[in-house]
Amino acid sequence: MLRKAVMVDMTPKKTITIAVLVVVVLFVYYSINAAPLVSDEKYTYISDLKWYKTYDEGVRVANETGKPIFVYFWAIWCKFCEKLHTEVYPDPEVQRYLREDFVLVAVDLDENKKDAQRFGVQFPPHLLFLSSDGEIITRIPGFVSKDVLLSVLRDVKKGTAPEIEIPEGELPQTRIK
Amino acid sequence: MLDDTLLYSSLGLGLVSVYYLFRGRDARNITRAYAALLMMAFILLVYYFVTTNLTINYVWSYTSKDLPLFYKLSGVLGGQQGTLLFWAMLIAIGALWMNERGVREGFEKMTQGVVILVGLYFIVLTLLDSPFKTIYDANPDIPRDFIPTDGNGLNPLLIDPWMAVHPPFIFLGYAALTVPFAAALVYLFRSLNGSSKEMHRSWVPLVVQWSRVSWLFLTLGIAVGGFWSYKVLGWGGFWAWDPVETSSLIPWLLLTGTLHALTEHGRNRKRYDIMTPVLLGLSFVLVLYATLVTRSGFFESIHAFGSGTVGTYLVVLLFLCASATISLGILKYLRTEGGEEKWRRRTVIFYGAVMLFVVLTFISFWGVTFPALYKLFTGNKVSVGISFFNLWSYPFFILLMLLAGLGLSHNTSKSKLREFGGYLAATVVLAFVNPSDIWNIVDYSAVVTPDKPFLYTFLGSASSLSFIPPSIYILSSSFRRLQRRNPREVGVGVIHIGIVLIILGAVFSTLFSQEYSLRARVGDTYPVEGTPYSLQVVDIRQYLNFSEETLDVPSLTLGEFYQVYEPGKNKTYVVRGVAEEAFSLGHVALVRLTGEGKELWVATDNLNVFPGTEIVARGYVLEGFSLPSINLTMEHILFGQVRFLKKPISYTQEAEIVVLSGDKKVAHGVAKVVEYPRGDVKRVMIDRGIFRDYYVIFTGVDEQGIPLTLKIMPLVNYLWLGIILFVLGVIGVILYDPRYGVIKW
Repeated sequence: MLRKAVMVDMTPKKTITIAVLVVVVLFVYYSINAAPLVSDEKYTYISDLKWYKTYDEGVRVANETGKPIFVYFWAIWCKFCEKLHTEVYPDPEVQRYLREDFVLVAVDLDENKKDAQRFGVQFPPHLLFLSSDGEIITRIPGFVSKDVLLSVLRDVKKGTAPEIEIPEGELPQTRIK
Repeated sequence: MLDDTLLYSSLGLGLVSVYYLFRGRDARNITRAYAALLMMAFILLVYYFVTTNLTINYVWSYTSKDLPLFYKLSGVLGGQQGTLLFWAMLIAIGALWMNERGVREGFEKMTQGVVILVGLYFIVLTLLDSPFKTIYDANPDIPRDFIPTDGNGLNPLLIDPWMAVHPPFIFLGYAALTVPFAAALVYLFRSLNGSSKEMHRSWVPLVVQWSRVSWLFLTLGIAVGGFWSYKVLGWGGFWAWDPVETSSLIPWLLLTGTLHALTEHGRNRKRYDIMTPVLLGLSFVLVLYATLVTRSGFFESIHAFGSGTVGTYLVVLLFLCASATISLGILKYLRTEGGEEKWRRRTVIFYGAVMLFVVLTFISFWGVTFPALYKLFTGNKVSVGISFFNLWSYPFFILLMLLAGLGLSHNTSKSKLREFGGYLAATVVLAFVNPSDIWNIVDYSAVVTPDKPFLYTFLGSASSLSFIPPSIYILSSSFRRLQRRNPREVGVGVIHIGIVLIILGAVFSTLFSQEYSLRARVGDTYPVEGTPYSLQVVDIRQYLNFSEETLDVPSLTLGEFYQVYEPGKNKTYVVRGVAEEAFSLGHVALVRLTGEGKELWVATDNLNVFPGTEIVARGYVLEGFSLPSINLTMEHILFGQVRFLKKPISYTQEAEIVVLSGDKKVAHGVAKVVEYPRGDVKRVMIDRGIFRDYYVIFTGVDEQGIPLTLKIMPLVNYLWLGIILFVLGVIGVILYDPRYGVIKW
């Protein structure tokens, strides 16, 4: 049998089969190496930033440094999270705020159910801003554009609660939950 | 528990039937009894759903009294237990079909035996967590005489006609593949000793018919899922390469490749003699894999079905099926003695195409699998997103399209090969022509991700214009097929035209879709920045939806109330009526209750009272109460609690929206969001057009206004049209194929 396989007589079938095998092996090797790591035991790596994995770690660091805490709730299958990771967080100005002025926590909703429950978060993405002693300043329950996020980051850093802009005129009655 | 007896007896009879069939004897009546018992069990479960028998735990979990009959039926497939029973029953129907056709060769008997054997495994899976378990058995703390007043309800996302047919389609596709799988194993096994000549006559038609039916339902299931996602989920797409979605595409891809192998194998029994049965076997294995991805809870996906209980047992079945297929394939390969025919060009082209399907299948399989394996072994997470699948599939897919163009032209003369070369060259050239970054296969320009591997940026920067030459190639070859008299040829042509429309629709609607978000208020027109469009919310309607049933609360009508009312005494009254008018004053709502020509004001902290609802109010009554701030004086006012006489089921917010381009109205429609206790469901506003859909997402009114997202989706309707053509083509081939068709032409 072996002799048959190594025979020099290359039929098209053999050529195609070998090509397919080579492609598959290369693909497996390359794809594993190229896949970006998003989290290990200690940290989560999103948009080139290093995030603590639990709120407790974050609040400990915040107590020491006095910086406000940004808790980002995400999941690997969440498409709007991917959009945040690729279009919003990498913005240079956003990066500057996040790196210098905030303690970053990324809560993986598939793994860290405790923190999700603690802050009543059900769906990703969800952005939560807290003062360094753990008081909730504001939250954004969903995707935000770069500009909105920047204004919130600026306000939280300044220590003022972000202004909630209420349009004039009447609004239809909202249900209170 | 009595109902499980049906399943146990069916299991017993099935075993006897398998025993007889494997010994080459007849087992007609036993097989009939086995299938009949399973069908009875399934009908019984349907009956429990139709009558809303809430003492059955599974029924309680997936339905509620107020659901319309149609959605009570979809509750049957709402969870794992019901789908397993459904699957087991479908397999039994397959076995029954073979039974009643009455060709009783050894090959067919043995195939039928394997089919039933697989079916029995599914009965065992069903019994592990029986759908007939009562709530008392499921939860021993519940007293025996307790009957729940209502069920847990169906997942509101499933309350949609498209979603209702999605699970049955998928499971029909999955179950129909059992017969080809069994046939493939038996074919490999029996051809180990001796010739496959005799078998070939019965094996090919059997496998072709069942594979095509399975293919049809898998296609329908996936397509309906995508359409529903576009219409209901409100994220503006139809496919996101989520593990659960992808896992249903994996067997589809391999089956598609296998069907191409089958056409050649059908012509000459020695051609692809091993590959065809092995691929058929593996297609079924991948179906099991898809079920595992969905039910094991190990793969992280947006489709939160909750982890099932059958993970380990599915893994066992999967390994059994996979190792049987592969080892039989290897054995047959080792026993094949030379004698292979010299391949003609056509055979080579088909072989290349099948191998490309295998590669595409593997890419999708790997994209779902390796992050899970990585997490399992290292505890770390890697990101495999949409771009992974698009990027890797792209080169192989383009090549496959080109081969399809050549294969469809039915003629592999030198001139045809030159034509192929021409299209290939055009494709490669166009892959380097990028009118702008939007045209990139994966647009890394918008993404600031450092250190992207070279191959990714290189492949990603290929232009989507490269889809055009292969599409034209397939279309021109397919149209030539349409001119043939043979219905099979016409069907094949239509299928491939459908595929091209699907590809163009999917690629270009994704590439050129635009998305804008803004916040609006009722009445005003808001220009969408950077576009000629503006949005206007014409009206907002908010209301509660109630059940048919009326609560029986002992209470007074307004007429009765004014007869018994004693002013000045601090007494509690319970009064019912219709809320004629309601408005909120911060934390209190004022409601004007009317009935029998009288009225009574009610002050309550229940802010959900909408005009027109029937309520009952309970509290004490004051007289001559006035609110100078809003210039209102009330003769009588009741302070207290308010309950609805009908049970509220859901809360709807509707926005009537107009899309303007300049001053011209281009789209108009209603977007909704309905809140159920179990979650929200969106109804996107979609105004369809030949060139583009206007798609407006409305998620409800919040404190700061009405957040709206406008999406312009170009050419998306070609995708749906392509799917319709594809499905019609497949149905045509199933019915009218002169060789294997159901209806003789």
